[in-house]
Amino acid sequence: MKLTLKYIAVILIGGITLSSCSKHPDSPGYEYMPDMYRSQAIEAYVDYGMVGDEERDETSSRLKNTQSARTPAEGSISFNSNRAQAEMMMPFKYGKDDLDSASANFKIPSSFLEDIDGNVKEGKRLYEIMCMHCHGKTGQGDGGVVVVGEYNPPSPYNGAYKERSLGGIFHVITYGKGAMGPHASQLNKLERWKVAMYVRTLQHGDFNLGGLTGKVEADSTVLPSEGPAVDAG
Amino acid sequence: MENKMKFHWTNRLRVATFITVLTFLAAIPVKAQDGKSLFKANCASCHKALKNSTGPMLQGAKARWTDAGEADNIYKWVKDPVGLANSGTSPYAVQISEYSPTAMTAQGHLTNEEIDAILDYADNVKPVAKTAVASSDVDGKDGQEEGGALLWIILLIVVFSVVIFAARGVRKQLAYVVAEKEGEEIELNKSIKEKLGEWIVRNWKFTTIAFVLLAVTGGADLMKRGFQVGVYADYKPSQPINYSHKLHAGEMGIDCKYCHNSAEKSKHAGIPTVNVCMNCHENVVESDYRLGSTENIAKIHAAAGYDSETRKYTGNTSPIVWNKAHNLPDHVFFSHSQHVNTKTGNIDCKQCHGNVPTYGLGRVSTTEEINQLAGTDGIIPLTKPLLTMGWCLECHNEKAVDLTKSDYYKELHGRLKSRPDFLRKISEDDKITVRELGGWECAKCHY
Repeated sequence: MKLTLKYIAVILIGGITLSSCSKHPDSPGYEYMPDMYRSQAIEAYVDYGMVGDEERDETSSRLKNTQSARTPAEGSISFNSNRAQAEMMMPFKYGKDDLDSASANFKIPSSFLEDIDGNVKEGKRLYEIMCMHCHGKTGQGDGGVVVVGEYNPPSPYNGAYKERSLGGIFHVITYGKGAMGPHASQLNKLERWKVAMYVRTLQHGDFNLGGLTGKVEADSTVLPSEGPAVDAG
Repeated sequence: MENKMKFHWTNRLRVATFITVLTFLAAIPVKAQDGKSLFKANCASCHKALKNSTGPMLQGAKARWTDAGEADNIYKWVKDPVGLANSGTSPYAVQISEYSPTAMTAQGHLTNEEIDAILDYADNVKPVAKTAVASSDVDGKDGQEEGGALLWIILLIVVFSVVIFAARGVRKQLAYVVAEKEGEEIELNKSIKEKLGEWIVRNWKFTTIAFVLLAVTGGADLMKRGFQVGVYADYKPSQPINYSHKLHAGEMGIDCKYCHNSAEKSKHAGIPTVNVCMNCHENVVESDYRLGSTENIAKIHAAAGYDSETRKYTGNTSPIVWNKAHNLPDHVFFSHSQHVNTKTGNIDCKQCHGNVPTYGLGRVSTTEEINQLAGTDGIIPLTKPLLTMGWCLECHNEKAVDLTKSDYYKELHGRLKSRPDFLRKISEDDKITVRELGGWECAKCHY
C-alpha cells in the first residue's frame, strides 16, 4: 500500500514537471545552435524580443540603455559619397514657426530641376506611400484616413494653399502643420523635395515643365546659405 | 442698327426680371445646409464640431463668446484672430489664443452670415451613436492554444496510472489475503528495484508493447520538433499594444512603408518609432473601432509622454517593447532594402509577408496564405515554409532581375555582355534569375 502511494506521488510530480515544460506563448520556437542565431554585434531590435524570456520582464530603464535603442546624436547625417547630396542633407535651418520665411526664402536646389520628370515621378511614388492616405490620390484631402477615420480633412491642394511655394511645402512636410504631424523622420531631405515637386503638380493641375522652371526660383548653390557651421569632414 | 432695334421691350423686361431675381437671391441669408459645406471648406482641417482637435470644438463656440460678454467679437476673431488678440479689446480672444501655440489661420473672406451659418451648423451636429465591435479583426489565429493537447495527454496518463496502480494495489491486497489464508510466507523485504524487475518480467507483453509505443511516439515527436527548428510560419507573438493592421493598412489604406519606412533604405523594415504613431495619434486620442481601442491609444501617449487632455508633451517617455515576429538567425544575412527598393528587387511586401492588411497583429504568414495571392503584384507561388532557406532558394530560382535600374546591375549587365555565350545560356528562358547571378552561392547570404 505504501508503495502504491509512492508510485502515485512520483507519477504526479513527474506529470506536473512535464506539463510545466510547455512553450511560452511568445516563444518563437526551437533554435539550432543558438550561438549562431543571436548576433554578438549590436543589431537593431536584437536587444529585446529575440533574447530569452527572462529579459522580457526587465524594467524599461534597462531597455533604454541598450545600444540598439538609442537615437543618433542630434544633427547626424547619413553617409553619402556624393558631396552635393551630403550637403543637401545638412540640418534644416528653419525652425518650426518659420513657415512664412521658409516659404519666401527657402529655394529648391537647382539640381532637382535638371530631371523634373524623373523627380516628379519619384515624388509621386513617395506621395502615394507617405501622403495619399490622408491627402487623397489627387490631393483633394479625401484619403482613407479622413474618410474612414473621420480625421480632420486636409485642405485641397488646389484650394487655399495653391500658391504655397516649394520651400513652404518642404517646411510643412518637415514640421507638420495643424493636424498633420512632422514627417522628417520618414522622408529625408532629398525625398521631401521630390514630394514637394509632386505636390506642386497637384496644386497646379497639369505639370508644366516650362511653367515650373519659370515660376520656381531655384537655389543655384546647393550649400545651405545660412546653415549651421558643421564640418562635413 | 437693326440689332439694336431688335432689343425689344419684352427682352428688356426679361433682363430686368433676371436682374431682380439675382439681387433677390443674393439678399437671401446663407442657409444652414451651406454651413456644412462652408465648415468643410474652411474649418474642418483644424476644427471638429463635437471634439477638440487642432482647434477647439466649434459646438457651443458662439455661446462661449456670448458668455464671455463678447458676442460680436466672434466675427472679428474668425476674420483676424491675431489682430483681435493683439488689439487689447478682447480678453476672451487672448484667453483662447492659449489653446494652441500656433495661431488660427485668418478667414477674412468669410462674411458674418457665413460665419453664423457655420456656427449654426456646428451647434446642430449630433453625435453619431456607434457601437464598438468586440474584435473585428480576429483572423482565426487568436484562440489557438498550443500545448493544450500535450497537457491533456499528460493528464490522461496520470489518470490511467492512478487507476492501474489502484487496481494493482487492490489485487495485491487480495493476494496477501489469499496468501495469509493459505499460510504462505510473504516476502515483504524485497527492494523496489527487484520488485520492478519481477513485475516487468511477469508482464512482459505489456512492457514490450508500452516500450515500442513510447519509442515510436517519442521518435515521431522528436522528428516533428526537429522539422520545426527555425520554422516560424504562423508565429504570432503577443504585443504590448493590440495594434490592428486591418484598420490602419486595410480600411484606411495606409501604405506599409509609411510606418515601416526604412524598408527601402535599410536592412530592417523598421518598427515605427513612436513619433510616427503620433503623426496621427496626437489628434486621434480616442476611438470606438473596437473595445479597448482608446486604452491602446493611451499606451502610445504614455510611451510618447503626451498628455491628451492638454495636448502637450510632458517629456516622460518610455519605450514600447514590441515582440519581433519575423526572426532570422544571425548566420544568415538578409537586407530589406536589397529586396524592396524599386531599383533592385522591387518585390511587393506581400510576397514574403502575406496579406497583412487583413491581419490584426503582425504575424508570420503561411506559404498557403501567400500562394492564394499568387499572380497579383508579381507574387510567385512557393512551396517551402516561410523564412526557411529552401523558401529563399525557391524564389531566387524563379525571380527575374531587372538589370536596367541600379548601377550595380548595369555594371553586371555590361560584364555579362562581354561573355555572350554565358549570357545566351542564362537568358534562354527570357529572364535572368537571381540564381543565375549567383543567388544560390552560399556566401551570398552566409558570411
